[in-house]
Amino acid sequence: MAEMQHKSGSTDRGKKQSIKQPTKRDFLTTSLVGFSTALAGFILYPLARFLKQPPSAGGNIKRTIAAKIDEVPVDSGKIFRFGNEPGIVLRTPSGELKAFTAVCTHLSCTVQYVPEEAYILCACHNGKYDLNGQVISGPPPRPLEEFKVDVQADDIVVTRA
Amino acid sequence: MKQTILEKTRMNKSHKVRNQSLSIVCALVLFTTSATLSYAESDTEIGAHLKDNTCISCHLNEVDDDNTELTEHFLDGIHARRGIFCADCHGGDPTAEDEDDAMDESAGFVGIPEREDIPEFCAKCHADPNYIRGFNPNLPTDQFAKYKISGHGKLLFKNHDSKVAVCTSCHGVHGILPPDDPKSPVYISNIPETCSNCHSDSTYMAGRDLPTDQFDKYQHSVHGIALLENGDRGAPACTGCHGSHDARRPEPSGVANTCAQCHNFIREMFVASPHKAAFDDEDISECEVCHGNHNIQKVTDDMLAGGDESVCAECHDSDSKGWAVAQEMSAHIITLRNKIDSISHIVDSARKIGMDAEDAIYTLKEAKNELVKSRALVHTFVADDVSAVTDVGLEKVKEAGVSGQELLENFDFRKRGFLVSLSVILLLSILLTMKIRAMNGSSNVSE
Amino acid sequence: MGNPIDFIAERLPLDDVMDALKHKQVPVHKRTIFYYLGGICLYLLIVQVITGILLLFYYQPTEALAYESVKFIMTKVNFGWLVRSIHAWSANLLIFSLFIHLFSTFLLKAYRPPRELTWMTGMALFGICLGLGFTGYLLPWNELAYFATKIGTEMPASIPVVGDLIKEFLRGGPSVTGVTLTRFFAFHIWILPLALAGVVGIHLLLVQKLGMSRPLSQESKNNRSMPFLPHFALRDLNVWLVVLAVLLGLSYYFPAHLGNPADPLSPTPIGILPEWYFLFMFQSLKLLPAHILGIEGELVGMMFFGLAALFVLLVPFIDKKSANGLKSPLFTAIGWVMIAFVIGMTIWGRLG
Ligand code: HEM
Ligand code: FES
Repeated sequence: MAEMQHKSGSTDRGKKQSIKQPTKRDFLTTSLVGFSTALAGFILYPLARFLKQPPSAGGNIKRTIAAKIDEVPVDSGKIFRFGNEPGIVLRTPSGELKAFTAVCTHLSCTVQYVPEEAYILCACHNGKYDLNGQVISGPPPRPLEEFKVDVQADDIVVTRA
Repeated sequence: MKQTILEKTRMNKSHKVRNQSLSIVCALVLFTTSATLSYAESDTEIGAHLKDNTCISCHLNEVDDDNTELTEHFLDGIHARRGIFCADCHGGDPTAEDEDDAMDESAGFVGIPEREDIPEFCAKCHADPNYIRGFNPNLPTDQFAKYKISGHGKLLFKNHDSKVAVCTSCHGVHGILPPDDPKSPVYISNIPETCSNCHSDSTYMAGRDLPTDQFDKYQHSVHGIALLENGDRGAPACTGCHGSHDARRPEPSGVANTCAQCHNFIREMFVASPHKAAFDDEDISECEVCHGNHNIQKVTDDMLAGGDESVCAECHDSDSKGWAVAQEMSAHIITLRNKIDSISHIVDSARKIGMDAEDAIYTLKEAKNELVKSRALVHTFVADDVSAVTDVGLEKVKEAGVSGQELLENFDFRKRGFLVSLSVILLLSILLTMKIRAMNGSSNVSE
Repeated sequence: MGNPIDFIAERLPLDDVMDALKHKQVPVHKRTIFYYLGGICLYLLIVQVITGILLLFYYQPTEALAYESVKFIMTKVNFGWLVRSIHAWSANLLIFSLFIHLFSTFLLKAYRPPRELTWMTGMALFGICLGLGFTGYLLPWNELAYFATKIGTEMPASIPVVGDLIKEFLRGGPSVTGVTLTRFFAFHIWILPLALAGVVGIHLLLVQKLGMSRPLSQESKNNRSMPFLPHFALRDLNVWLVVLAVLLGLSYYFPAHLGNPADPLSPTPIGILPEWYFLFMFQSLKLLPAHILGIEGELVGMMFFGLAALFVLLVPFIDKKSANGLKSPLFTAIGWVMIAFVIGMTIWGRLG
C-alpha cells in the first residue's frame, strides 16, 4: 500500500516534470497555497502562545499575599511587592500584624522595620514613623498609608483601602 | 439719673420688643451660619447666656454700629463657646438693663484697650495657669513671656512701636478660633499668609531693616510648596523656624539646629565632618550657606561640581582637595542618575506600548532609593561613603537594564512579527489579485 | 465508509447550499464595490468571535478583578495585547462597516421587495452590534468606560413611566456598580452574541436565497454579472486580507489602552465622550433645549431617534415607488440627509 502510494506519487511527479513545463498558473497556485499556509502559521502561532499558561499569575494592585505567616515573627518586618510599589508588613512586639506602604512620604525611599526599637525607619534621611504609620521625627511630612491585613490559612493578605 | 415715666414705659415696651426680637435674632444667629448652627446643637449654655446677656442682646439688635457684626462674629469664636463673654474681657455689668449702668467704669468697664496694651490684656487670663487649667490643661501659658522676648515684643515694650504684631494681629479679634481650626489665621497652612499681611507690605514695613520678599520666596520653596500646595501639614511654616510667640531672627549658630528639627540625619553627618569646625571658625551658619533660607529649592546635583551652580566652588579653589572630593562625589551621583535615566527611558517606552515593565520599574525604584540616599551622604563629604551607596544603586540599574533589554528584545520581536506577517498578507493579496486577473482572462462576466 | 465528504453530504443538505452558491450571480456595475461590505462585516464578526473567546480565557468579570485581569492580558499574557487590540479595533471597524453597509443598501434601495426581511434583519443586526459595543466598552472597568456607561445608562431615565425601570434594569440598581458589570458581561458574552448568531443566520440565508439585487439605477445600463463562486468569493477573500492587514497595523501602532481603574467615588472627569458611534446621538441630545413644548428636551430627542429608527426599519413598506420599480428620489434624498446628519453631528460632537 505504502509502496503503491509512493510509486504513484513518484510517477505523478515524473509525469509533470517530463511532460508539462511548469506554467505560470501552476506557479501562482503553488505560491498561493504556500503563502496561505504561512499566514495560517502566523495566525496559529500567537494563538497557541496566547493559550499557553502565562509566565506568572495575575498581579493585583488592590490585594496581594504579602508573606507567609511564619516569615513575620513577633517584632519584625518584611518588605513585599504591591503592584509597582513596595509595602511593609510587620508584627509589633505585642504580636499585632500591620501593613503600610513602604514608600516614605519624604522622597519615596523604601522604609524598614527596626526591631526592638519598634518603629519604622527611612534610612535615607532618618525619617521615623511609629507603628501606626504616624511621623515621629525627621523630614517626612505625612504619615504612611496603612493597609488592611487579613490572615488566610498561612498567608498574610494585604488589601488597599 | 432719674427716669421719667415716659422713659420707663418706653423701656418696658422696648424690653418686651427686645425679648421678642431676641428670639428672632437667636433664630437668625443660630440658623444663618453653620458655625453657630453647630453650637446651637451642642451648647445650650450659650443660648441661656444670650437671653441674659445685655451686652450681646443690645449690641446685636438695638445699637446698629460696628459692634453688631463684631458681636455676631464673637459668637462663632472659641471664647463664646467656652462661656467667656464680653464682660470677661471688657468689664462692665452684662446684667444691667441700662446702657450706662452696664458700661460704667465702676462696674469695671474698660472698653477698647489701646493696641499697646493688648498683650497684657489677653495675658490677664492666658498667663494664668490656674485659670487656663480650668479650660484646657494642655494649653501653654507662656505666650506672654515668650512674646516679651520676641522681635515684636521687644519693639513694642522697649520702643513703644505699636505697629508691631500683637496677639490680635495673628489670632484675630472677637471671633478667635483655636489654631487647629482650618479657618483660623494661625492654622498651620494659613500662617505664611498671616505673617505676610504685614511682612510683605513694603509700605507698612517701611523704615525697618527687613526684607519684604520672604513670602514670595517661601511660597516657591520646597517647604512652601509642600505646605501650601500639597497640604503637607508636617512641612514648616514661618513659625517652624522662627517660632511663634517668640518670633525673631535666628542666630547663625541656631539655624542648623532649626533645620535639624526635621533634617537630623543630614545634620549629624555634617557635624561629624571637617566642615563643622571650619564653619564655626568663620561664624557662618551651616545649612543656610548652601541651601538658602526662605527660598530653599529642590537640590540639584550641579550644586556639587556643576560649574556656576556649584556651591562647593564658592570656597574651594579648583586645585584644592575639597574641590577634588566635590568632583568625585558629583561623578558618582551623576553616573548613577544618568544610568537610571537611560534605563527609565527604555522601560518607559516599552511600558507605553503595553509591554510588561512592572519588574523593571520596581527595580528602578530601588535604584532611585540609592540615588536619594547617596545625595544625602554628600554631607559626610567623604567620596567613598557616597560611592558605597551609588555602587549598590548601579547594581540595581544593571538588573533593571537586563529586564529592560528583555523588553526591548520582546518589542523587537513584536516589530519583526508585525512586519513579516504584514508582508505575507500583502503578498498573498497580490498573488490573489493575480489569480483573479488570470481568471478574468477566462471570462467570468456573463452578459 | 467511503469518502467522508460524501458521507456528510449524503446526510446534510450540503448540496443544496453548494448548488445555491454555485448558481449565485453577483451583478457587475458601477456600485458593485458595495457588495463587499456585508462580507467585510461578516469577516469582522468572525474576528470578534474568535478574539472574544480568546479574551474570555483570562478575563474576570468582577468589580475587583476586571481591570486587573485586562491589565494582566495586556502585560503578562503572550500576545494578549494583540488579541485585545484586535478585538477593540475590529469592533470599531465592524460598526463603521455596518454604517456603510446600511447606508449603501439604503441608497441602492436593496430593501425593495422581496428583500424586506433581509433589510429588517439587517437593522436588527445593527442594533445588536451597537449593544455589543456599548456593553463591551464597560468590561475593562476603567475610568473612561465607567463614566461613559454612567452617562449612557442615564439616557433612558427621561422616558416617562418606564424610564427609571429601564435604567435600573440596565444598571442592576440605582447606580453603576459591580452588578452593572456582571450584567453587561452577560449581555456582551451570551445574550447579544446568541441573538446575533441567529439573526446573522437568517440574514445570510435570505441573501443566498434571494441573490444579490441589482440597483434600479443600474438596471437599464447593463446586465452583466459574475458567478459568486469562485470569482466573487476570491475577491471577498482578497478584501478580507486587506482588512486583516489594516487590523494588524492599527493594533500594532495604536494598541488598545487601558487608562486608570474605575473609581466610582471620583468626580466625572470633564470632556468624557461616548464611543464615536454614539456621538451623533449624544451630540444631538446635548443640543436640544431643556424643554420643547413643555416636554423634556431629552425625551423629545429620544422620541425622534426612536421614530427615525422605526422609519428606517419599515422603509421597505413606506417607499412605495421603489417597491414598484420606479425611481424614488425622495428616499435617496432622505438617505443623504441621514448620512449628512450622522457625519455632521459626529464631527460637531468631537470638536465641540
Ligand atoms: C453583523 C452584521 C451584518 C452582517 C454580518 C451582514 C452580512 C451580509 C452579507 C454577507 C450580505 C451579502 C453581501 C452584500 O450585499 O454586502 C448582506 C446583504 C445585505 N445586508 Fe447585511 N449584514 C449585516 C448587517 C446589515 C445591516 C445593519 C443592514 C441594514 C440595515 C443590512 C442589510 C442588508 C441588505 C439589504 C442586504 C442585501 C443586499 C443586496 O442584496 O444587494 N445588513 N449582508
Ligand atoms: S526619603 Fe524617607 S526620610 Fe527622606
